[in-house]
Amino acid sequence: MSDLQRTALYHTHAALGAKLVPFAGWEMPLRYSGDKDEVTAVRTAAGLFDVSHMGQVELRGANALRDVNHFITNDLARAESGQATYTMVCNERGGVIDDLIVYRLADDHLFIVVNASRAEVDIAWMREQLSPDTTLETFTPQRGIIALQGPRADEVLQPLCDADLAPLRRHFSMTAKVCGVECRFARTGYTGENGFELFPPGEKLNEVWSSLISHPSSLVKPCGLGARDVCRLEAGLRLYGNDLSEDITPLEAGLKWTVKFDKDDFIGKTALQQQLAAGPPRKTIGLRMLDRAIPRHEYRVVANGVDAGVVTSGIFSPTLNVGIAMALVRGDVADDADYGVVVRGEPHPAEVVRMPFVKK
Amino acid sequence: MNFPTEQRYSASHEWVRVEGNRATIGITDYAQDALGDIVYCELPDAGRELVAGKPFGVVESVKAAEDLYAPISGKVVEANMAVIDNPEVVNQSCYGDGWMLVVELSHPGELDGLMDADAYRVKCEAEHH
Repeated sequence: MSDLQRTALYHTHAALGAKLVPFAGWEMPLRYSGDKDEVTAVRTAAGLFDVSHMGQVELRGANALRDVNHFITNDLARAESGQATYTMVCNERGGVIDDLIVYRLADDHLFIVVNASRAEVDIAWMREQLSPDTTLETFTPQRGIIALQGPRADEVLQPLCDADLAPLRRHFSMTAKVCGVECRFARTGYTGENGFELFPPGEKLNEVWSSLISHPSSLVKPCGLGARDVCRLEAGLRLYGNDLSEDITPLEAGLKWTVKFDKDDFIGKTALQQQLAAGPPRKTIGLRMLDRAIPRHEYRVVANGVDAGVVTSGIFSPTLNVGIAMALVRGDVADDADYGVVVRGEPHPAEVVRMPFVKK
Repeated sequence: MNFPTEQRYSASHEWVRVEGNRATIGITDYAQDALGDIVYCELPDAGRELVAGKPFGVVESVKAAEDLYAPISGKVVEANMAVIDNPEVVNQSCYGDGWMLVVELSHPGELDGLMDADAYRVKCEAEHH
């Protein structure tokens, strides 16, 4: 495992008893106290995640905004200063190269957070699209990311922050002193809960983590990638590599809202327009099991007794106490069809539900 | 991690405790820890014949599904309904209340092919690193 990268919090995770596993080239905490316990903390109080493995990129220059707007599907022209925009990066066929968050910090300064598993591909792709005077700088691992997620996140962070958090709107970022460290943070996350993502410098990561984890109320639990995956699926959020890939378009993934056809030309626009006109061949649905069977990644999905597609993500939801899944199925199958997921050779009944599975 | 010495272990992380011509079977501490919160177990009914090395059931956690493999051959005498009704008991007590099957041994010689606690511990440590 010597070739795996470690975040500055590696030894802190080990000391907390985390089970550490390889993930996208990093050795990351999978879980601490247990998936159920951690998910409950996020849903009822607050959970703390180290997601410093995610790629951080900054672009600067007079043409930076125009350059980025050309390789993303969403429209940065609509973003205010400090605002985060969730977007797809597509290839010419309309397939998704990555899903990422772009912060418009200034007209000539953008901050982008990308999936760890796609960072190399993304950065190479971005470099090809940039004007000569646009600079690209990476900040992984010099800067970390700590996510504080849960209904009581404000209560935990406010006493440790020298700015008022109340005016910070969802999907907006700001800079302030947090736990004694000047850094950017945003009201964003990947759990479906209120919460924050903080971007402190790597050498201050442990200070910020320990201030948050030792909050006197004991509200805050360390959480691993296992709980993160459960929370994001319960919230109906896509995971690159499962629900998104270069062979799945944003329209098929149910993310048409991230594609702004009315802006200037962008990579993949023509293919996506054609697919929109013809009707996407596949669609993404949420399935909730009607018995105790648990759907898993790559299990087949049937509708009215006929093969209809595949589970892209599936888990047992500790919050709902039932198996839930995202599935990619033929576009012409009605939502009220008799759906089933094939578990060990047997179809088990499921119903289509609107995502998110866990409503807030 | 707990490796009791009064039982034997399979490479697929099941344990076997023998009393007379009967054996109790379950999954090891290493296995339950690797799986995380166990939420579902599928076990064979009494009367089913197990064949050493072949799947006999399924255990699922929040994040994963794993087949259970028969460490020895024999006829199922009893399946533990408690782990079907409350699968978390496997996390809480994998060698005690979380046992899975009682089996009547058909080939007791197969026990010699299983590991003792020391050998199994070495294997788990090797898998972990």
